[in-house]
Order: sequence, then C-alpha cells, then structure tokens
Amino acid sequence: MRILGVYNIKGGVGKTATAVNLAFLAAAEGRRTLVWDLDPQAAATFYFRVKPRVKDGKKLIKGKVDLDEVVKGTDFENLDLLPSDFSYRNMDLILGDAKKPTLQLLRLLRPLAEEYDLVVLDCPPSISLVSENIFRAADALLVPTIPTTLSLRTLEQLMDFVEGHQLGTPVYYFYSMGDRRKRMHLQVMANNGDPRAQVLRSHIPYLSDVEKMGFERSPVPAFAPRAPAALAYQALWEEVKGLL
Amino acid sequence: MHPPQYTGFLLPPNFSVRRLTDRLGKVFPLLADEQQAIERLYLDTFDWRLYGAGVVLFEKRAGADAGLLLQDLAEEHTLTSVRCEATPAWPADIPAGELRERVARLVEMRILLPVVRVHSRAHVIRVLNEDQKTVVRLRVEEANCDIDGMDEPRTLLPRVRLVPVRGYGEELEAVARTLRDDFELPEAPRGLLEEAVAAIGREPGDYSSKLDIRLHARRRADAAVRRIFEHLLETLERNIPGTRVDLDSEFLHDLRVATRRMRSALTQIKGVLPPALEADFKDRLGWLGQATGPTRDMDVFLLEFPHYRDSLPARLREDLTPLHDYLVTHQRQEQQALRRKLDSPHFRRLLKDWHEYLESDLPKEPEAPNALRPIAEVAAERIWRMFRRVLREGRAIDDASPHADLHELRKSCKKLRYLIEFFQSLYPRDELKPLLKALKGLLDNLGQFQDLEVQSDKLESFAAAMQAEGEVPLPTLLAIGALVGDLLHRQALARAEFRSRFRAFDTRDNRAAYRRLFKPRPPEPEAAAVPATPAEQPA
Repeated sequence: MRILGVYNIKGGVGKTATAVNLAFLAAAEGRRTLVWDLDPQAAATFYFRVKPRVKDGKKLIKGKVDLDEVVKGTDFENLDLLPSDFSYRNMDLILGDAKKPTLQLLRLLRPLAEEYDLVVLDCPPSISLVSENIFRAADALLVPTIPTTLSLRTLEQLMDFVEGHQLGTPVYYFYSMGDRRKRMHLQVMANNGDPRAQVLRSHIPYLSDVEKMGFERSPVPAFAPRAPAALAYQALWEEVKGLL
Repeated sequence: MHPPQYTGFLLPPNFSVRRLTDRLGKVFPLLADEQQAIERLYLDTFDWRLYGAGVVLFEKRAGADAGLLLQDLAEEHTLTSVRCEATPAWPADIPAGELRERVARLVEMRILLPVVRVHSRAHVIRVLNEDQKTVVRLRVEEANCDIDGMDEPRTLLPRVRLVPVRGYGEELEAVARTLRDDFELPEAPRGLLEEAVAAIGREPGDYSSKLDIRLHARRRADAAVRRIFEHLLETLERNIPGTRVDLDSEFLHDLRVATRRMRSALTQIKGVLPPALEADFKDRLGWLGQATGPTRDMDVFLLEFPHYRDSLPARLREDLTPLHDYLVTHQRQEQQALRRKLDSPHFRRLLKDWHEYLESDLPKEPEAPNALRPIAEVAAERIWRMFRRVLREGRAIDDASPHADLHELRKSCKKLRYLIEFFQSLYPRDELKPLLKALKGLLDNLGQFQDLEVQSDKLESFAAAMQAEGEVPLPTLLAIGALVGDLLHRQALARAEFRSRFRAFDTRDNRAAYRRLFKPRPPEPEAAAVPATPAEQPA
C-alpha cells in the first residue's frame, strides 16, 4: 500500500480535484484505491455523492471505530472513500490527546494495507498537527501550486517545515490552475520554485471542466474522458505513479 | 461491518427483465449501464476433482477479455485468476502461476474436460439514492447453456445478483427485501455451475470411482447382488469412451478396477448367482482384465517416470530418455491393440449378456443356494470368512516367508476390502471407517511391496526388449540398472515394515469390531427355516 498526500498550505489550489481525479485514474487501472477526505469542508466527499458524516470523526481518529466500518464504495470499481466528518475541524485537538500525536494517522491506516494498493489523502490546508501527521504517514506529498509568487512562498514554508522536522518525505509539486494568458504565470512556470522540492513536468491548466466537477459530482475522466482536463490529469497520473 | 452476504434471485418465467426494471424503477431510481455478452466454459475432470475439492474452474470471455477463474462453489469469490487465450486440457496448458499450481495439485494426472458452456447477456442496473449516488448494483444475467453434442441450448432462468456497494448495507437490504417480499422472487441457488449442469441433464459429482451402493438388509441376496453388478457395469461402461481414445490414464484404470471388482464379487459372493453364469462371466471378465493389462502397465510407467527420473543422481537423468521414448512408443501400440479389443464383438457381447442378465426377471426358485437369503446375512458371512482368512495368512508370515505368501495375503486383503465396500450401506458408516482405514494401511504396504517387485521385473524386461529392438546406449542400461536397484531397495524396506503394519491391523480392537459387525449369530430356534452355514474353525 502506498500513501499519497495531496497537500498545500493554501486553499483553493485544486487540491481536491487532484486527489479525486488521480484516485479515479488509479482505480481505473485496477489499483484498489481509497480516498480519505480529511478536510472538514468535505469537497471530495461531495464529488463522490457521499454524505459527510457528522458525529463519529472523533472516535475514528481516536481509533475507537475501525476505518473499515465507515468506508463507502463510490460509483466506480476499485475506488472507495473515507468520507469527511465535520468534527475534523477540531482534529488538531483530538490528535493532541493521543499518545504519539504525530503518528496517529499512520497507525489508523496500517490495517488497510491488505485491502488497498493506494490511499490518497485529501488534506485540509494550513500547517498544523494534522499536516505533520499527514507528512509522516505519506510516502510522498503532491503539492498543487498556482504559478504565483505568493504560492511559491507557501511551498518554501512547507519545505522549511519538512526539513525542520526532519521528515524526509519526498515533496513533488506541479503547477495548477495556470493561465497561459497571464504573463506572471508564464514567468513563474519558467523559473521554478524551491529546489528542495521536485517540480513535475505535467501541469493542470485552468479549465472549465475541472469546475464542472462540482456540477457533475464526478471525476473529470468519468464524465468527459476526452476533454483536455481529463488528458491533463492522465498525464499527471502517469508521472506520479512512476514516483510512488 | 463487512459487506453483507451475496443475495441472488431468479426471475420466474413470467417475470421478464423489463418487468423487473419497470417495477423496481417505481420504488428506487435506477440507471441502466450497457449490456455485455459473457461466455463461461466450466471445466473439471471426469470424476469432478475440482468440484469435489470445493472449487469451480471456468474460462470466461467478455469482449476482448479472456481468462481462467478459480472460484468457490457459490461462485462468489475468485480465489485466483489468470489471463488465458486457449482452453486448457492439462494444467501445463495454463500460464504458470498460482492458478496452475492449485489446479495441478487437485487434478493430478486427469485431463480437464468441458462440463457445460453458459452463454449469457449481463445487464448492470444501478440503484441510486437521492444524490444520484449508486448504492446497490443489480447484475442481471439472462443465460442459456449447452455442451458439444447438444442440438439446442437449454434456457436458464435469469439471475439477479445484488452486488453491494461498500457502506450501503441498509440500501442493499431494502432492495433485497423488495425483490424477496414484494416481488416474491425465489432465491437463486448459489452457483451457476450446478444449475447449468442440471439443465443439461447431469449433476455435479455424477461420476465417482468410489463405490456407493444403497442396499436393504432384508433384500433377497440375488437381487441385492444384481444392484452391485449394475453399479459396476455402469462404471465400466462410462469409462469406455475415454479409454478408447485414451483421454487420460484414469479412464482405463477405473475400467480395470470395475472389472476386478465384478470378478471379485462373482467369486466372493458365492452361491447367489446361477452357477453356470458365475463361471462364464468369471472367464470373460478374466479376458477383459488381461486385454487391458499391457496398456495399464505402460501408463503406470509413464506416470511414474518423473519420480524414476528424480530418484537418480542428476547426471544420470538424461540417460533415461531412451526408456521414456520406448514407453511412449509401446504405450501407443498397446493402446491401439486395446482399442481393437474394446471394439471387438467379443467385448460387445460381454456387455450385452451382462445387461440381459441384469434386466431379466428374478427366478422364483433359484438353483443357487444363497439366492433367497437376506443380503445382510450373506454379506456378514462372506466378510467374516475373508477377515479370518486374512488373519490366518498374515499371522503365518514371518521373515523367512516367500514373497508369494505376501502376494496371496494382498489378494485376500483386496477381496476383503471390496466386500466391505460393496456392502458398506448395510453398516454404520462411522464403525466401518476405522476398519477400512486399518485395512488400507496394510494394503498400502502390501501393494507397495508387490508393485515394486513387478516394476523392477518389468524394467529389466524393458531393458531386454529395448536391446532386442536395437542399439541401446550403455549409460541408459546402467541408469535402468540403478533404477532397478533403487526399487529393490525400497521393496526390502516395505518388507521390513510389514510386521508392524500387520500388527496395527491385527489388534484386539479391530478384531472385536469385525466380530461385532460381521460374525454370524447362531440361529434363533424359530428362525431356523434357513439352514445355518457350517461354523468356521478358528485359525
């Protein structure tokens, strides 16, 4: 079982769309895949037409409920979802109560190793105890990055954190929601960001099909398999799976 | 919570798939996916070794996908699968991997035969919730089935299988309830194989080389013995087609075992059949035994060959290749000769006469002295007598006894075993089990002792025959010599083990069990109408 954390300190960078589309493509290739929606905003859960949970999140994180019991099948073969829970907004507090607070997520995921080939963590923004848990659990972090100077600064912050805590988790980033008509986007994409992270060749441009995911409530390749957005995610997946 | 158990239903003849979706669509939002054609070809050995081991093997073709799947009997779980283009006849035809290993272990030397072919059209219908999320999948298969040689496929009732979506157990239960309680659909038998096999007029496990003859204890002996012969004759005849074309070695083997059992029944269940018939069939079955022997000998050597090879030091193994070539050539020749004998009028008449006798009316006043006695009485008497003979012969064997004494004992043990097996339905199964086990332990030892001797003799004669047929490389002769030496060594080991094996048979418990089950009781005064048999002298 490989664990991929899709993460950014900033919100609104196409994180959930990345997690959902990559998970869909992995499952379509026959990998048994689980998406864990750790974001209390529950966007991934919404895309899969699953209702967010409202009460047991705390028990779950504390290990009092097996992950197994709350997993939901999606509309797609090989693809399951661990839905978001409103109580995840307090996850820092819940994790802080645990014995080894920074290893809690990994401990919870371990029993699923037999059942899944890939777990994709859709992470909430911000740097916190939750993020540290995610960094420690993940085999790799994938950071969608908008090609702006501000975004690249948050990438640096992330790398400082990873380095400062001696986590050793490899960090990959790619440009997301880039707009070729904007000069600044092109400039940023030409000069890469923090050299401690590895930039990927693929990028996901700003495309309306990605926005349509909220209307279709489905991954892009499921409702528009030939659309440019679907092809862009396919290219990204080809690159990411080589790194896992 | 784990996904609930598979729930499957059948659509009765008046309940079309259309009607199902119309009615179900009024209760739940539905979405139909595209249809798919699926072909399944179920494979098993003639004696159902896979089914008997609780697994189902089939080749599945759907679109461009072709693969072999090994599943549990309910056909719910795929234990292992492999992509495979051509239908395998032997495990060696299956791509290497877990499936091949498992199948090879179960089928051993038997060929995989097509059992039934199921052609189906599968519709997937999704049940949605208010968010248009799929919460249950219905897999509806409309199918018919056939097998080579059938004129027209037989239609199966459409099956509806509920495929759970993880985490939506309540919705699954709701759909299952609607189908079961409101639509009153009958539950489907769990596996498709059983249903399809029944549709072509067979049933799984409908052939076994094991004896399973139901007899009534009070039935007149000649009628009961006819049941035994009917069973054996059926087994023999069912193995003829596979033996004729040599599908695998076990058709001939089972045919020979049935022949031997018939002959043994004729000679051991004395005084039940008309004496003239007894002698006539005994001769003719003897002929059949001899006619089938040479091919079986070659088969045995070919089956044993890999073991022979592996028993030699690695650098001698290649030297055995000419022996293998010799065996293959002669097996083919003997097989041709055997086929001519099976096609001969002599053999056909033998079968015909048997049928005529078995179908004829039972005589009102049979000349055979035991014909009218209850079968249980005759059976116990024969088994008891044979058991005593085995004890007598076995106890007389010491380290100086000639080989022939052990061979004689083996024959008696076999007769005893056949007798117990013919009549097993007359006795409590769990009481026979330890008896048969002890007898088998002894027979294995005696069989090994004799087989090793026969094999070493045969190998020597093969070496001579090979030389007579042409130049045989010296290393080959030496390798055969090494094999013979090894066989004789193993035979000596078997001989050394005999005493302890026999002691394990000749125990107080075993003797008491035989006495309890089979020793004839002294006749009660009022039942003395049937003359008692002469009491046996103790050994």
